[in-house]
Amino acid sequence: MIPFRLTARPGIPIYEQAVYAATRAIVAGQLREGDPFPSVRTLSRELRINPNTAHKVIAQLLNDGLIESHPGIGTVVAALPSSTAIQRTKLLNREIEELVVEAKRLSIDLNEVTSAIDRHWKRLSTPPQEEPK
Amino acid sequence: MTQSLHIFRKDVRHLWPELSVYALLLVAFALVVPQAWPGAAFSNTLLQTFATLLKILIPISWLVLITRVVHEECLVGEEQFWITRPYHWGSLLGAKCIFIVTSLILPFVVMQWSLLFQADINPFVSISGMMLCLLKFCLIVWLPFTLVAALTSTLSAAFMSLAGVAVIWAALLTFLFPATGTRMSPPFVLEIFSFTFAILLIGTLIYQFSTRRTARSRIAVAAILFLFLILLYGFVGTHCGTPVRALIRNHYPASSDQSLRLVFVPGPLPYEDRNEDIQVPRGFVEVKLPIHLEGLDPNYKLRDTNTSFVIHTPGFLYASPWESAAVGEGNLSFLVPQQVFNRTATADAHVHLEFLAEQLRPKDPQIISSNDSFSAPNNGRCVLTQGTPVCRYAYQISVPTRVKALSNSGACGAPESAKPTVTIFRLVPAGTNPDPVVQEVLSLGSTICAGSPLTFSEYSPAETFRLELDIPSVNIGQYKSR
Amino acid sequence: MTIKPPAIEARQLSKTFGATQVLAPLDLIVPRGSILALVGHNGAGKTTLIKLLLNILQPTTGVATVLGQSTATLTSTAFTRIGYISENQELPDWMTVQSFLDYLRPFYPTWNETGLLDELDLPPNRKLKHLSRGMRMKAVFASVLAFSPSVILMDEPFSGLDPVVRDELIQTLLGRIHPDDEGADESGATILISSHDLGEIESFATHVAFLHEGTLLFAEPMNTLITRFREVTVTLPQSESAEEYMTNLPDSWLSPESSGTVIRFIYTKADTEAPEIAVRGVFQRAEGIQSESMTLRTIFLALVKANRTEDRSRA
Repeated sequence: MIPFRLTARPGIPIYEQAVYAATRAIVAGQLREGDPFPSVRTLSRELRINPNTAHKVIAQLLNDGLIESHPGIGTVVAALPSSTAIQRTKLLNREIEELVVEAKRLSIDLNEVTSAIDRHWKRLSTPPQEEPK
Repeated sequence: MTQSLHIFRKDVRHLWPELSVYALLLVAFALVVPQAWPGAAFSNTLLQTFATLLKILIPISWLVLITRVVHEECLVGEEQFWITRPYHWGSLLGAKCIFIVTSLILPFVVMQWSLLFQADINPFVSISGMMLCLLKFCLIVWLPFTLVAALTSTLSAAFMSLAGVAVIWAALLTFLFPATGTRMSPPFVLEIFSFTFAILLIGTLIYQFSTRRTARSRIAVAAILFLFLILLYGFVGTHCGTPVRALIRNHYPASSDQSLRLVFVPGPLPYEDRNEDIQVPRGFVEVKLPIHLEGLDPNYKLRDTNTSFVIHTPGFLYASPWESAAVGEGNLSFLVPQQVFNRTATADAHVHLEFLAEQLRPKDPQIISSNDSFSAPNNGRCVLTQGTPVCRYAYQISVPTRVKALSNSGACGAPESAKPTVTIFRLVPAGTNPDPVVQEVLSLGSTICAGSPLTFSEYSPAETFRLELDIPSVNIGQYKSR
Repeated sequence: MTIKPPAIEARQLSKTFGATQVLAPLDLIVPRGSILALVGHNGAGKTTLIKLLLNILQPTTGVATVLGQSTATLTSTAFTRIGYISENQELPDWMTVQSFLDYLRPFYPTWNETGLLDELDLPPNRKLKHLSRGMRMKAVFASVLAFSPSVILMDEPFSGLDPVVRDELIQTLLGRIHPDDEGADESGATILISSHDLGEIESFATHVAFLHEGTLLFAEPMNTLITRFREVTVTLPQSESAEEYMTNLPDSWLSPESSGTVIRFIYTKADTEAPEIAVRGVFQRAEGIQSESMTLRTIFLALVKANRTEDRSRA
């Protein structure tokens, strides 16, 4: 079983949807560091996508550093890479600004936005590991 | 080759019910038919009917088996499972041939041998007869059946096409070409015809297997049948008359023997008792001319007597094709078309006649003492039942034989008037009879007793000859016999 | 490095039966490793095209090649790498599932059926004639996937099957067409599939070809198609009436409809020009422009309707 699904969203390329779903599963902790990542065949089978797309998905995730290839074992989930300054700036400044602009355009107030952020953050977080005493 | 065997094994696995019934049929045939032979110990009409039924069922079972095996990988259609699989057409055709040979022909041959054994004849005495018989079956039955199966997709379609073609064919032959029976065919023409059409049919079969172009193959078969008709028409309608005549004349050289000649003796004909009753075809008249054949050794016999003649009256000329003629005591009879007869019967006509035949020379006669079961020359095996000898041969009788016997009019044992009687049995070529035992009932008048000697005289072919006779003036109308 | 020929190529391929032209001359290239969805209404010519590619039918004009080999001379060896799955194909019904596979095995050098019957949940000892429609199609899939063909041509393989069976078949298919070795240069199997289950094949098809009344309207990558088709709704100011504009719309805007101040149409060039800009060019005073992406199914419906209207207006 693969711990993520594609939600059939028209207009968004399947490849993008798959990369997003995999990324979300990794940050949410459904796939932990060291877990084996599904092969092209398995991805293709389970998500009902063609193998070329599956291949591209894996290539993109490798590129992003979310998974890494170990010879003999296959691909495994990597530790979340540290972000570069440029990546952080892009998210915190540009993309957050876009969110704020859109919210204001739709007359959504700050409280609603922050509680939505809070809700999603909690949902996509792994509960802290219980340390054996 | 391995693909062929693989397909063949699958076919056997699927068709074993049909094969079992076929085997049963052959066994029944081998058991029943000897009981229906002339001279068999216990025979009745029910058994005869059963034997006839089995004789009909055998070709039907061939049609079913061949059609079923070819339709396993049907060649007609667009949705068969095998046309997108790595079948090689050569292997497929090979597999079907292997099936037909091993599961159809081989058991049939074994059944034939069993019948020969039951007649006390060694099957291998006449290899040529066996081969000829099988070849005929191939050309007339098995090859056409396979071709029809390759051009249809269901058993009923195959049966109906075959029946339809057979009926139309027979009708055409009967009504378009009524006089073919009496025509003489040039030497070897039958062989060449058969060979050519066999090649054409095999070619069509291979074409269909390799390309599966059913429409084209069906057209090809229709064209072949049409070609056959055209050639037959040309031959019968004397459109190819000249080359046919030349071929025949070539094969029968003019006689070098000075004493052998035809003589016309004008005058009324003595009445002659006929043994055979030949039907005169519609539109024809039989004319019997008082022509003597002189110079022939009295012990010799004639075979394949044919004649060709030209009738010339003022204002009318008729040249006949080579046709069969009957030689009697001091006369020669042949067929003349009705219209020609009407035109020429009124007055005297000039007739120029050519005659040819093959001579048969008698070999030294063999005297054999008849018994309940005894051997005859030419690998025959005879039985004596109720005073009549019945001689049996494998596949064919290749040599005309004359049998002389001393027969008693009363019961055996009494040394009464034993008068000599004679019977002749003619050539019987290897035919398409599932029963390979050729029976010849020697009707020698009355009873033959065990121990009485029978003289068998075989005739071997001697030289062929052609004679000419010119009759300046004769009124044919006087010599119409039928 | 030699450039391998495309998996399937057709040039001016057409088919006429008697007086009816069933397939107008078409050109098509299916690259290796792609999955082409052949889409069209019933009777558009999809089955004819597939049969032409397999040499079941002979073309009236044009040529086609499969794996570089001309279809007119497809040898028996070629069929060791080509698979055909069709809802209408006859099977040797007297064989059991396992004996059918056993019978086919010696024909193919690359046969591997391990786990296939289990994955498809097929009873090996049941005769083919006793299988339900779905199981029968599964048996056909098994008999084709077992030899790992390089090209698979499928003619309505999911027709009449329930969603469970459809899903199982798609899963099995997708799980078996990629070569084992992850880093291999080999592309996976090329698939040409004609189907009406547009929702399902949209997720895994890489290319789409659209046949309408025997004519190939277009063949392009799925991404391009999804990107360029958008359903656009324009709201005009209260003062205007949408009716007036209906006759002056560009031809490339398909199936325009209007109601009050709203105009809706199918925009087909969103890959080259954003719909908003195109709309602004025609309706300078538009108050609202909404553009929605379309699924393969909605694209298909729109195209068929648009073409039918065009056929009717031309007739």
